Amino acid sequence: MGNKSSLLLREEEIAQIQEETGFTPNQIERLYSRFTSLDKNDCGTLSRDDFLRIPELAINPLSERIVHSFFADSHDDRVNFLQFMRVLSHFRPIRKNRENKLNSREEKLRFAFSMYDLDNDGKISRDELLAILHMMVGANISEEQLTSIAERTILEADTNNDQMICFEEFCHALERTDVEQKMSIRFLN
Amino acid sequence: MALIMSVVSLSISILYTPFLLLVLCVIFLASIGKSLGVRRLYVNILLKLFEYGRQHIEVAKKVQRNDSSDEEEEPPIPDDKPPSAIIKENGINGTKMSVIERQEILGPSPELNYKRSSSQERIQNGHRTDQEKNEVNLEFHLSHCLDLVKAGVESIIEDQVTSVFEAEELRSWNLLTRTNKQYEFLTWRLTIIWAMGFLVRYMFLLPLRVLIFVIGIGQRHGGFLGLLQRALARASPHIWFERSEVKDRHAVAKRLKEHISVPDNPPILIFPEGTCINNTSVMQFKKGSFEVGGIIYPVAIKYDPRFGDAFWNSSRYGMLHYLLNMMTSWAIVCDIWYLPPMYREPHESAVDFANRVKSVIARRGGLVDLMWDGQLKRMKPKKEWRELQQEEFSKRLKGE
Repeated sequence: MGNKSSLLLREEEIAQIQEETGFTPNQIERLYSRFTSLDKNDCGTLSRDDFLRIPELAINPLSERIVHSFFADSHDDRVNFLQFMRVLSHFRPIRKNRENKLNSREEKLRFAFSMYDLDNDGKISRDELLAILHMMVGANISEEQLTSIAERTILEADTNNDQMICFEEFCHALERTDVEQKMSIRFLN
Repeated sequence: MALIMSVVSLSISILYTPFLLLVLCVIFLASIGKSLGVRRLYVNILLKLFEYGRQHIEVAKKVQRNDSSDEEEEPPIPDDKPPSAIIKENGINGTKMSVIERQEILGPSPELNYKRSSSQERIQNGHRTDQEKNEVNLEFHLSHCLDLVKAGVESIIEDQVTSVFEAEELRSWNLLTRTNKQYEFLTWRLTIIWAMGFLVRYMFLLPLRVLIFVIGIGQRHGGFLGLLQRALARASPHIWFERSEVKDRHAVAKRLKEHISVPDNPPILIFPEGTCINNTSVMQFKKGSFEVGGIIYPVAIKYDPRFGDAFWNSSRYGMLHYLLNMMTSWAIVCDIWYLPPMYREPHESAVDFANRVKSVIARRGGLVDLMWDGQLKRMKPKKEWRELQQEEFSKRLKGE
């Protein structure tokens, strides 16, 4: 029949992913099933187009940034299942009595930071912030207003006066935000 | 070789008479409106078999896995579900298996966005409409993008549309390899059951159905689908059209109007989604047939996927492969509900009327009512939908 990817997940792979990300074997299998259904050509990896084929993602204003985050570690512009799971694990809820590797508050904040940091240099510049704002509001707010928003945001967050927001300043600005809740997805078992 | 031939001919001659008698018996009973109950018996046997298989698989998996230490206790799942997608657990089949609980779903237009309320605070806007005088005060905070990011990642894990164009996933395996996504070799017993089922389906059911098919249709020519089309066209009149031709649509609408204006003409059968969908959801109805103005008799159709999936995934395999799948399935079981007629209200637009009919059908058949266009199977989402979402976000910023 050859309709589904004949590469079933091996036990060692499940164990490795569980070790790294903290997902249960059940969740890993369900997510693998999702991964293969996105993989239209059955090649075991996903391209950007495979992601953007999801209509709900394609109409999301921040779709490029979100998809880009999956390709951060990739060399050949494709994502394998392990990389896929690593990114998703950032959104696992934080558990009080268990070890949280990729889904700690700091990791979540780092992920959020990477949404803004377009050139990945560890700082958010005014232009980068402006670009993100453009993505989110389109043509509905004027250029001057957006520029003033960007400048104001940097002014409020920038403590060392280098006109950029570094990761520590970012964390400080989001101190009172419930990051654990905003950046966690409720997984069913 | 000769031995096999003689065995086959012997078995045919032995089984021929009783088989013929059985067929005649069934036909006779059907003609007087009664049935031997063979089908029901068959279905019940199959269900018992599947149930046995499922329990067996669960036991086997537990033994294989052997680690219950990583079971995370999840908090109890709340009961409210997204209103825009009424996810009905089909009582008998129970097939909707979600991985996550969605917080926010973006739809083709912002009124169709779903956002889980209460726990999620809306974006804080300090200065509301009290301040009418000067510029609109836009309060932006670095955390404002997080909602969108989360909605995006949620849609990567689970979305309403992609699953609809693939065969429905079954809760328990129905002993067909084609629905077997996760199970490798588990136990001998299961494999034997599967092998026997395979023999029954390919050696008995398939030839039987092919025989009936051939007798029913007639000779074979080339171009299999063309053959079917010709046969169907002989059976009842059709209105053909080209999907991409816009002018064609006007011509079709005209023909439809002509047809229904004559009271004696048979009713037109329309499948308004415009594409094959896997029978778990109903997608947007094309408004063309609802503009014509006539009485609509909605019919809800729901296949029972446990016995054989009637969904033709045209991007994965062709018609012939699909027919083979059909003929080697256990059975095709289908529920059909004929619903009371519906009329278009005087000030109702064709789109609203179509949506109304769609929700009636979805409710009756236990299907999910989706607002998405079925053409997403072939086309990319429209740019305007994204622009609408951007507009929605800016409204939030402005505090409207």
